Amino acid sequence: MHELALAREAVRLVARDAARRGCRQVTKVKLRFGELTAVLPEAMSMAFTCASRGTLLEGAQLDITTVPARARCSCCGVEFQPEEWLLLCPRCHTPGARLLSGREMEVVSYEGK
Amino acid sequence: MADFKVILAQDLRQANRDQAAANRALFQASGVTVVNLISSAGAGKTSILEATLANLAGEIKIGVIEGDIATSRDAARIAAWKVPVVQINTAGACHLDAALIAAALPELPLGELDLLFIENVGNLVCPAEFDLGEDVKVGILSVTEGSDKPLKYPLVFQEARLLLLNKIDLLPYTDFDPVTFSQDLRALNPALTIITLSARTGEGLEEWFLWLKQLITSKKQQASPCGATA
Ligand SMILES: Nc1nc2c(ncn2[C@@H]2O[C@H](COP(=O)(O)OP(=O)(O)OP(=O)(O)O)[C@@H](O)[C@H]2O)c(=O)[nH]1
Ligand SMILES: [Mg+2]
Ligand SMILES: [Zn+2]
Repeated sequence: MHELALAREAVRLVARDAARRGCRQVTKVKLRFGELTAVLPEAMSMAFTCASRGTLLEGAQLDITTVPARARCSCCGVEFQPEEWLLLCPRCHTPGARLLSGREMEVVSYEGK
Repeated sequence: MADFKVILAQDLRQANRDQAAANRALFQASGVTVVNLISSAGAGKTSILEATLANLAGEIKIGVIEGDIATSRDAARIAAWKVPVVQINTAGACHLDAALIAAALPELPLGELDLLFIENVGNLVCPAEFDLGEDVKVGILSVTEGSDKPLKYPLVFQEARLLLLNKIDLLPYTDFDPVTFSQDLRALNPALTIITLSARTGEGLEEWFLWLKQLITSKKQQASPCGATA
């Protein structure tokens, strides 16, 4: 996966905001990934360590949350946790339900001083 | 400065989306149709491109962007067909992104092209996440990779408008199950078109060429809805 590219983008977004606020050091960064994004928290954490080196974020604690997948059937409207990617409705078996969550890749927040 | 907390709530894909939108606007203004080819390493992207150039380069103005982790071997293969080609080396990254494409575009005579192919880095997972500004993503799978791939690597099959099932000449030597394969694809993406072909024997290529020509025509009609000629 492309954890390094995502980590660089997270560092860029936080560093830009932190610099604008005159922050000297970022102490904690909170990220959120949907379970269907194939982002591995361990790999992300390693990538973050690399990407943050020499920036305001160096040494910051990383907090990664995984968002469970949810989908709503386009036919009968039932909400369910999809089995893998098929998005097959467990009630009426219609495929191609609408994904409500599970594809997030976000910087939620950061703390600094 | 005292301790503080900032809620950012920013999407890590947003910068790429913005750049992709800028690329798309440029493609639109130049009147070029852009196809992003995605497959795992060795499924036959460059071979299919070569066969396409051999047959269509005379009637359609085609350009190519080659994405590879290293080397310009694929670009050299394409350049043999005397079409504009740019090689992007991603220096280790497993996918092309919209900024890499934007950096390559000044090297191409966009205004003269009808069709621009982007051969993504050989990888079935990551390239599907990154919009480049293309009109369509085309997935390529070769029968030697196995018919279980749609369920194992679903995103590319959901994002693609067309799936080329390549190396069909090798079907008798594999346990590839075409029935399960098309059932799984239909469940993942009911709108997906499937074309079965062989870059080696030429089987099925005509159908692919026809699909490409229709794509270019419908793009041009979109650009001038009243059918007015320039
Ligand atoms: N038998 C057979 N071999 C094929 C076919 N298409 C491609 N090949 C062979 O498969 C190998 C890989 O083909 P390429 O076109 O280089 O694949 P690619 O997807 O561009 O590979 P990367 O750029 O490295 O990701 C080559 O040896 C081709 O000759 C086909 O339809 N049938
Ligand atoms: Mg290639
Ligand atoms: Zn249902």
